[in-house]
Parts: sequence; C-alpha cells; structure tokens
Amino acid sequence: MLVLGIESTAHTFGVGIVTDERPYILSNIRDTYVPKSGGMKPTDLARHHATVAADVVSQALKEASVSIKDVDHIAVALGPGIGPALRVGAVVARTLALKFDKKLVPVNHGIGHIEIGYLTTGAKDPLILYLSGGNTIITTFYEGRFRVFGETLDIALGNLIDVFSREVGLAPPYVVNGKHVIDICADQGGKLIDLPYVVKGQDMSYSGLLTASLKAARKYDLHDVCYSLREVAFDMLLEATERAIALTGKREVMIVGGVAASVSLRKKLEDLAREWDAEVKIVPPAFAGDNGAMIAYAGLLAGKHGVFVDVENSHIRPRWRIDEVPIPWRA
Amino acid sequence: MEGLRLIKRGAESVIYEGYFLGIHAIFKKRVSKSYRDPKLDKEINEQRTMYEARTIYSVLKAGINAPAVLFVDLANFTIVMEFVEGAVVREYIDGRKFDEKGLRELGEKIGHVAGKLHKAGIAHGDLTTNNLILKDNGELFVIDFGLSKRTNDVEDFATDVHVLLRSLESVHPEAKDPLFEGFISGYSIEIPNYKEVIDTVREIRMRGRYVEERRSKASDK
Ligand SMILES: Nc1ncnc2c1ncn2[C@@H]1O[C@H](COP(=O)(O)OP(=O)(O)OP(=O)(O)O)[C@@H](O)[C@H]1O
Ligand SMILES: Nc1ncnc2c1ncn2[C@@H]1O[C@H](COP(=O)(O)OP(=O)(O)OP(=O)(O)O)[C@@H](O)[C@H]1O
Ligand SMILES: [Mg+2]
Repeated sequence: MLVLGIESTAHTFGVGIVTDERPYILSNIRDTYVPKSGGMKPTDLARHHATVAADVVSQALKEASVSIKDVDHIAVALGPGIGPALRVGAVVARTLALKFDKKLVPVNHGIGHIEIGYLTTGAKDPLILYLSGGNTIITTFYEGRFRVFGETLDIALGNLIDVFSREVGLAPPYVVNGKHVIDICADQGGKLIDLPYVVKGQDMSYSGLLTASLKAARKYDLHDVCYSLREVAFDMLLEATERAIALTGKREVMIVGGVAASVSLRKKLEDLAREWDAEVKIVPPAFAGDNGAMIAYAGLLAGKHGVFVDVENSHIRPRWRIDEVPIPWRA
Repeated sequence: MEGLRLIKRGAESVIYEGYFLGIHAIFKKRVSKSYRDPKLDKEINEQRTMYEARTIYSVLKAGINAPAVLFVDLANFTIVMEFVEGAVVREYIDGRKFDEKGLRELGEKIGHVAGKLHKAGIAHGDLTTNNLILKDNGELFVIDFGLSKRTNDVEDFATDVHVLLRSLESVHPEAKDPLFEGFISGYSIEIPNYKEVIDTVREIRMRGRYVEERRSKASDK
C-alpha cells in the first residue's frame, strides 16, 4: 500500500510518500517558510505554501519513483494549526483525491508526530513528550486514545525559545548547524538568574517566564539569561515528566516534535531516565520538525482501519486535540 | 537514617517508613536531580520542604485531615510526619472496578476536602488521586503539599480542580464521570460560588486548546 501525505499546518509545506513495508518512508520533501524578520503572518504562510505546493508534490513522487496513479490514498493534516495554512494543504489533497480518484484520510498533525516517533524509534509502550512550536504535551496511549497527562497552560516550549530569541535579536535563523540559538547562547553563560518556575501538577506555564526573561535581558548578561531561561523551561518540563513517570510507571520516554532535536534537552532527559531506569527514545532530526512523511505514515495506519473522509466533509480543524482522535490501529 | 524502610519513590522524593519518638512515621526526603542546575535544585527542594511543612500546619489548623508534621530537617530537605494508615486513592480506585455509588461517594469526599482547603485560603497545587489517602474508617487525608500556596485567587482554586480532573481523565477514564459528579456535589457544599470556579476551570482548559489563537498571537506582532 502506498500513501501520499500532505503537511501544511504551520510554517512547513511538506509531502511524504510511505509504504507498509520496509523501508516505509520512500520520500519526504518539504519547504519551510522563514520570514526575514518578525513572526509569521497567516496570509504570508498561505501564499508561501500555495507557491511551493505543486513542486513539492512532484518532487516527492519523483524521489519515491512512483506515479500518482500507484498511490492508494491521500492523507492530509486537517489540524490543529493555522487556518489559512491548513486550507492550502486541504485544497491540494482534495484536488488530488478528486482528479485521481483516491480516498482521503484525515490526519491529526500531533498524531502524525507521535506515530512517526513510534516508527523511527521502535518504542513499544512509552510516555510521550510532544514538544514543538505549538504544543507541549505529555501523553500516553491508553484504551483507544492518547491521554494527556500534562501540557502547557499557555504558550508552547518551542514558541517560548523562539519568541525570546527573536525579541533579543538572536534570531532568525532559529537553528544554526542543528543547534537552536538559545542553546548556543546559553552554552556561553552559566550564572543562574531568578526566573519564575511555574509547575501546576503535571502542567506548566511558560508565559510568565517569557515576560520575565525579556525583562532580565535588559539588565543582565544575555548569555546568563539564555542559560537561566533554558534551564528553568526544560526543568519545569522534566519535573512534570517525572510526575507522569511516577504516575504511569512507564519505562520508555519518547520525544517527538521539533524541540526533540535539542542537544541540551537530550542530555537532561538521559540524566532523568537513568534515575528511573528508563530509556529515552528521540525521533531523528529529519522527522522531528513538521514533515509530510509523518502525515503519510499516520494516514497509512488510519486508512488500513477504514478511517476516511469524503471530500465534501474534509473541513479543516484548527483546534483539533490529540485526545479527541480515536486510534483504532493500536490495541 | 537507620531503622528506616524505603517504601516508595515519588516524583521528587523518596519515602521511608519508621518510628520517630515512638510514633509510626513517614520520612519524606526530597532528592537532588542530576539534570538540574545545582543552585536551582537547592532552591526548589528547600522551598518545597518549607512550604509543605508550613502548609500542613495551616491545613491542620483549619480542621482538615493531613499528617501532622513531627520534625523538619531543612538542610536535608526532609520532613518527618505521621504515617497515615490507609489506601492511596489511585490504587483504591484501580482495585475496585466499577462501583458507581462508591465512586460517587468517594468523589464527594474529595470535593469536601478540596472545598475546605480552598475555604481556608489554600491551593494544593498537585491535587491528584496519588496525593489522597483513604483510611479504613472512611476518613480522607491529603498529603504532598510541596506545590501548595496561600491564596484567595479563583484561578488557583480552578487550577486545583483542573489538575484533579486531568488525573481522573488520564489515569481513571472509566471512573471519571461518577467521581467528578460526586466531587461537584461535595465541593459545592463548601464553596457557595463554586460556579465561578468551574467556569474558570473551563476557561483554563480552553486556553490550552486554542492552538490557533495562541500561535498567531505570539507571532503576529
Ligand atoms: N535543534 C533544535 N533545538 C531546539 N529546538 C528546535 C531545534 N530545531 C527546531 N526546534 C524548534 O522546534 C519548533 C518547530 O517544531 P515543529 O516543526 O515540530 O512544530 P510546529 O509546526 O512549530 O508546531 P506543531 O507541531 O505544534 O504544529 C520550533 O519552535 C523550533 O525552534
Ligand atoms: N504521611 C503519609 N502516610 C502514608 N503514606 C504516605 C505519606 N506520605 C507519603 N506517603 C506515600 O508516599 C507516596 C509519595 O508521597 P508524596 O506524594 O508526598 O511524594 P512526592 O515525591 O511528592 O510524589 P509525587 O510527586 O509523585 O506525587 C504517596 O503516594 C503515599 O503512597
Ligand atoms: Mg505526590
């Protein structure tokens, strides 16, 4: 079985092609929009995606050496994400489905991140940390759904480090040679400045930390502020993670989403895992950030269990939570 | 610490059982985390130990069931407290399967205790079924006050309710509905303006959900 998956929920337009046997992933092409300055405007995103869509689709087919006729289903991330960006992916998917008479598989973007994590790390029964620009979620699979143990009460971890880096002039670009600029900056600091550390049960709150860090950046050495921000932000997450480990007794911790590529986070997680006799499984960098292969792969699993949507009902779902999605393919 | 028996490992502490001046006691020692900056680590452990001891004192004064503090060793992040004989509610629920009426009654007890805490101006900070102990005589005890704070802010009370609801949804999805119904009926007896708290819970939960709005807000400037 061959599935073509389309990702367009935020900054990236990506297309991947997967099959249900080794090597599973046949191609994974993406084009990411990076504004020259400031944040991403939804309309600019949509324009970017619409401009690159056709090229990305044909490159993905070419690299997989398949023709669109060989593809069984079209999978598309219908949410959660930014409306105008989502609409581009949905339109491309509907067009392909109608024109080439393919069934359409609706995929939740977060489930895509998680399923590509299982595939690439070989995790069996993990506690899952989904860390990205839009989400900071601690979850695990239980009786047909991913259950959320903890999450951010306001902004996401990736958003926190991105906005801080941008506001103090360290970014864009946000990532240099595989390292986030906050890590590069923090590694030159080392003095801990008092910043708000806010954990509530298994949830964390990052917006106060962002405000306080921006304020501290005007007063203290920037490297020390980067260091303190990173330490406090990651340690809050790790504390919530430990609570979830204590509560669930899981012995694998799987990290997915763009922030999974962080070197300093990996180091901390390994220290934590040692204390709990657990194993850390991190999605490889190529599949950490938003990509089409993860949508194709989650779509392949869903399609095999008859999860399809008619073109006329394939509405985008900007606020679709992972715990709302039935997961029939996991027993 | 001789004569002590290690009985549990919590997220942030190790729990020993033993005797203190002849009293059956729990020795709760917060542990250092190798992943944490040493200064931050010390601050957190010291502050939590202090808050926990202080809050238990206020909780007892308000007539709420909690283990009395027998001794505090701040330098070692250790609290010695009464041993509460009973079942941790998390395990109690897991062991009982579906007894709707029993679950509703248990929920009611949790609601009363949470309401009494809030009435006394205390938010627990980690109100999960792991931090409640049910004695054989039916009395419900609250433990683990390391994240607690003195407050009269509805937001803090709503966060307690949210954390409890979250622990029910993720750990006891099948028992959640009767437990939470019971919770509301107990809680509303203690807290006349419970509606305001519940509305705030809903609002807190929506915050996490509004992915789109959150994102464009952060990036639209
Ligand atoms: N090496 C790295 N270290 C730390 N963070 C990183 C690294 N590389 C990318 N990130 C972060 O990952 C985030 C992007 O992740 P991703 O592409 O998975 O998600 P998103 O589209 O922003 O959000 P979502 O998946 O929630 O829709 C950004 O915040 C970025 O800064
Ligand atoms: N006073 C007590 N009497 C009886 N048992 C206790 C007492 N205090 C703690 N325990 C036991 O130890 C466990 C962990 O205690 P506590 O919640 O205080 O630690 P913790 O490190 O904060 O744990 P977590 O963060 O995982 O909730 C409790 O779930 C309970 O089983
Ligand atoms: Mg506890």
